[in-house]
Amino acid sequence: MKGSVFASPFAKPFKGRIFAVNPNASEILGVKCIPSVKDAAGPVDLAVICVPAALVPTVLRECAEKKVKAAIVVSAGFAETGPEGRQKQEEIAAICRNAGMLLLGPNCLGVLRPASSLNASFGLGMPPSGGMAFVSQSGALADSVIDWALEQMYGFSALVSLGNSAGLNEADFVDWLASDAQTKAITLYLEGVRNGKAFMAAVRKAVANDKKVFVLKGGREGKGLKAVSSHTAAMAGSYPVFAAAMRQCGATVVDSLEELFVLGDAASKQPAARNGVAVITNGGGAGVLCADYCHRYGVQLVDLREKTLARLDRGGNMHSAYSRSNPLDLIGDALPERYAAALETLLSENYVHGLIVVQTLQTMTDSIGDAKAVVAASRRHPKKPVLCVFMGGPYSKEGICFLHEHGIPNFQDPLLAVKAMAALVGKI
Amino acid sequence: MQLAFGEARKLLNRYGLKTVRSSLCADRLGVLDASNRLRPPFVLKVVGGDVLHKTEKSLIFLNLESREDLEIALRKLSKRAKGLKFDGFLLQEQLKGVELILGGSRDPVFGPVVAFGSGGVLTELYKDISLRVAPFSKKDALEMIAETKASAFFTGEGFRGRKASRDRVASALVSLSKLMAERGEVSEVDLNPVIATQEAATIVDARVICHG
Repeated sequence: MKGSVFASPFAKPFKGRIFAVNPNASEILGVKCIPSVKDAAGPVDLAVICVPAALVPTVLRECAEKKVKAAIVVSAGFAETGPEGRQKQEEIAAICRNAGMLLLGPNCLGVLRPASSLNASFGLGMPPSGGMAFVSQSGALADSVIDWALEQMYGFSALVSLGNSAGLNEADFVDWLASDAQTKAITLYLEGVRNGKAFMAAVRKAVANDKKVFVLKGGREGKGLKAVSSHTAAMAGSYPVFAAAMRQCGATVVDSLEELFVLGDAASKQPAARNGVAVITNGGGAGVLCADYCHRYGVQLVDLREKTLARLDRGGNMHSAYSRSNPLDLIGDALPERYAAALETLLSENYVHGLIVVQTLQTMTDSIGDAKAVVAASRRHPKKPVLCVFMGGPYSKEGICFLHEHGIPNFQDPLLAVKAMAALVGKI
Repeated sequence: MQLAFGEARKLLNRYGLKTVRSSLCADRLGVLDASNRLRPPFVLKVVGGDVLHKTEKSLIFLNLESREDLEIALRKLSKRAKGLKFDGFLLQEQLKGVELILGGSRDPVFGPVVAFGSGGVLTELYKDISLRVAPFSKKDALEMIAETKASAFFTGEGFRGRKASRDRVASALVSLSKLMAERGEVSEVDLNPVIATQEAATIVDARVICHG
């Protein structure tokens, strides 16, 4: 459990009290051991159990006696190994059920709650705290995501690895996250859902509480496809039903891990809005791509009104050849002042509900200046989503970092920016 | 177990789903007699038992206007259906309109599911199908229609002169979703085709399968 609830070089120490339990060791990672959970001084909220599978029932019974509120069983060797393991899993589920003790796992990575520096998992690092929750049926995936998050600066409210879900399942966690104040967006990697109706109800609750829900489903293809009728048997298998059910309760179905986190991150940092947005760009091609993708995903590009153009003209910052339409092409020599004028003018219009701001790299481009203009304008209009496509590498890095640090999602590809906007305006 | 034609029709009608005016007849005389009570043109087909894909086995005749047409169709159908188990001849009024498919099934995870799409023999080819977990509201039904290419038939000008009532089709979807949600014994419903016009959405052929 190195790097978990115990001291980790990657995380701030957990503020609560921690007991190390092991009858054979005198200390674990510098923490003095007690032989049994029953020896802990005072009540215990959570037990993280990582003993061999054969010992788990005994340890859980001790936890039950101690009236521990919840247990995470990290240990593997249960239902995933066959009928014998399945029986063992039923045994531990029954122990927890009878004791009224919540159970996560077995065979899971555990739970991380970055804001409380709680790493009740065997994950090595602790990702930054933020508004995105991740619930995964794959523990290994969760572990990699933490590492990836550290690199991408994704901030998480909670990470949950469900494991075999002998106790708590995906619906329970979505239901909990639906009323979690830290969580703004919920991302899920699922291979199967136990109870479709319960899961839909949980997702509906989250959506009703203004939290976006993104789902990636593994195991789409294969046997066991259920017919909708003899005619539609070939087309309406279980994945189409899953995808339809998710859309029906307001979740966004995504196709890849990258999409899952890129969209989840954007939705955790930017508000949802009505459809009808504008694109600001300093390069024609990127604007054209944005417009194409907006059309494809149903993101409406508003027509800029005469009075808006008049305001832009009066400001004196526009190039004489600027596009005067949406996408608003500021022309390649645009400096931060021109971006600032366009941003403020468009965001002040009540018919513009959000912005995609494109910056291609040109000779004059001042990436950090542009980034500052975006952040300042976004702060003045916090109810309108602003997404950026600052395209580039080393020359743009400073600006891109500034955007990230100030909660403005940036995308290298206009496609992902438009998809994120489509999610925010409820089109996907 | 597939419900017999009469039972299926009764169940569908009870949920407000409209079925085409028709008569199930045991034999030739029954067909000729029924043709006096219905309005031509007629469709005549063999139903029940082993009969599933009528088009492929040529167990269906369309555009029958007169007594002579009926006689010819009856002779041919009797020959083609020889050796098959079937309930009888179904004489129906032939409807003109947009061909749609409405279906119901049970998903092991989400329970009752309703499908909607363009109907006819090319349904399987085009896979133009949208799905929803039942029961659902009219708003869901309208979204379901909008998701498919069949939605072109419900716009102001229709598609190539063919136009149908979005409202009636949406109501039929809601009714079917109610049926699937309330009737746990129904495992599968296949309404294909449903003919939609500007006045109605009418089930022309129905297969209803129940457990046990």
